[in-house]
Amino acid sequence: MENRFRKSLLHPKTFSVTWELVPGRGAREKAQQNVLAAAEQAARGGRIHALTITDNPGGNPAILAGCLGAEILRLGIEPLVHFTCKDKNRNQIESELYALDRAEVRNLLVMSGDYPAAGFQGRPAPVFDLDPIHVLELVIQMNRGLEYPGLKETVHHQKSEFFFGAAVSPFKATEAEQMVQYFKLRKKIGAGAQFVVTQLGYDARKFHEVLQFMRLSGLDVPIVGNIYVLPFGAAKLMNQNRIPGCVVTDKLLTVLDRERSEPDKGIKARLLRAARMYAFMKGMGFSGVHIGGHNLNYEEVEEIIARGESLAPVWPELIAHFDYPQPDGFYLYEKDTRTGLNTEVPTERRGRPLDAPVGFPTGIPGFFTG
Amino acid sequence: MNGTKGERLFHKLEHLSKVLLFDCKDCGDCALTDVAYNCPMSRCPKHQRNGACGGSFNGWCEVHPGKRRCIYVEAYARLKRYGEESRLEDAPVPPCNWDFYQTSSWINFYLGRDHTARRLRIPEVESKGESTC
Repeated sequence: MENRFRKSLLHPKTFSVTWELVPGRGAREKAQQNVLAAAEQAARGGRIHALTITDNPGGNPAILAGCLGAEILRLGIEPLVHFTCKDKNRNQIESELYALDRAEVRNLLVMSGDYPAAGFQGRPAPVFDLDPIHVLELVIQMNRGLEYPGLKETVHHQKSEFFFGAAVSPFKATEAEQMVQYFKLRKKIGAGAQFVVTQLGYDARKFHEVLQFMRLSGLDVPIVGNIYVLPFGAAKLMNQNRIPGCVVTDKLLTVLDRERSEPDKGIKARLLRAARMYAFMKGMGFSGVHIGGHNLNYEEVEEIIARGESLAPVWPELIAHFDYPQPDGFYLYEKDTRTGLNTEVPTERRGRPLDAPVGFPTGIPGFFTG
Repeated sequence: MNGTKGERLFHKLEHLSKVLLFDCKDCGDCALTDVAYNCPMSRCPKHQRNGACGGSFNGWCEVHPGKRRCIYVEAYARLKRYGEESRLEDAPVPPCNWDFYQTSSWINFYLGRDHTARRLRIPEVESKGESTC
C-alpha cells in the first residue's frame, strides 16, 4: 500500500500537512473516541497527509500510540506515530517496532521524550536505555533487513518499510544549547533520519535559521515546521517553562492576553496566527507543517490550511508578526535587517562568553587537548 | 589484573574515585570522554549519550531547572575554551552495554571491550581467568 505521507513529504511540489492528535489515558474513554472521530473526519476531508499520534505526552500514561495508529490506518489515513525512548528499554523498542511493522504503521517520529511525570502509584522509572540516535540506527537496520548472530549462522530478517524522522529545536536562547541541538541534528541525519520536525515556536527568524542551517550543511532531508494553535492558558505555562522545550516570550504572552479579551476569546486571532505560520513556512521552503493544538477541530485545521494557502504568496510581509526573540537570544547567522530573517553570514562565536562556568578539573589547560 | 583477585579491588578503587568526582553509576561502559568529563549516566536524567534532548531552557536541565545545567551546555563551554566544541559532533556513541555493569571501565577499555576501545581500534584481549563481565 502506498504511503501517502512519505509521498507528500518527498514530492517537491506537495506541501505536506499533518495534524497532531493526543490519544489520552484509557482504552474506551472520550479521549480515544474523539481521536477516532477526528481521524474519520480527516480521512473523509482528504486535506491531511498524516495524523500524528503522541506517545505518553508530558510523561503521562496514555494508550499506546502505535495501537491507535493501526486503527487510524484502517479508517483510511496514514498515522505518524511519535516514538519515544522514555518508557521502554531496547528490547521493548524492538518489540514495538515489529508490532508496528506487522500493522503496516510505517511513519515514525523518533524522539527522547519528556521525562516521565506521573503514573500508577507514583512517578514512573525513567528508562532511556537508548537515545534517539540509537533508535534511528536500529530502524534503518530493520529497513535494510536486520542481521544478528544466531546459534549456527547469521540471521537475516525481511526488510521493513519504516519512514522515520527526528526532531530539532532551533528555539534555544544560549549558544551552547543551540549548537548542541544542531550537532545532534547532524548525528540524527547521519544515523538515517529521513525527515525532520521542528519543536514548536513563534520566532520566524529561528524557523528560517534551522532551514538555512540544513541547506548550508548539505543536510538534504525534508523539514516540517511546527504550528501550535496557541491559547493563552498553554502560552502562560510555556512562558513559565512548564512545558519542556516550548518557548513563549513575554511579548507574545502580552499579545495573547490582549486577544483573549475579544468576544470570541481570541479564537479567530490564534487561527489567523496559525494560518500566517503556514504561509511563511510554505514560502520559506519548509516541506510541510505539523499542526497541533488543544481541542482543535477538523474544520479549524481546514481553515488554517485554506487561509495559509491564500496568504502564502505574500509570506515575506508576514514575518513582522513573528518577531519574538528571546532576551539576548543566540542566532546562528547575522540578521538580515531587510527581511527580518537571517543572512548567510555566521555569527562570530569565538570570543562570545561561555554559557557555563568551567570548573576543576576540566579548567586545566590541556585537559582535553592532551 | 583481568580475572584475578586484584580486579575486584582495582574496580572498587576506580568506582570510589569516580563516585567522588562524577557520581559514577558503575555502568562499566564509560562515556566521560565523550561529554567532556560529564557523565551522561549520572548527571543527565535522560542518559543522553549523543547530545542534549530538546527540553533544556536557558542552559538549565529540563528536569532540574535553575539547579543543574544541561551537561551538554557545560561540555560545550569546557570544549569551546580550547576551540574543540565540534568534538561533540564526533562519531555516535553507542548505548551502554549492560554486560559491563558493575565492572571496571578502565579494564574494559584497556582490554579492548568497551565502545571507546572499539572506536580507537584497541584490539580485544581474551580473558584468561573468570571475568566479572
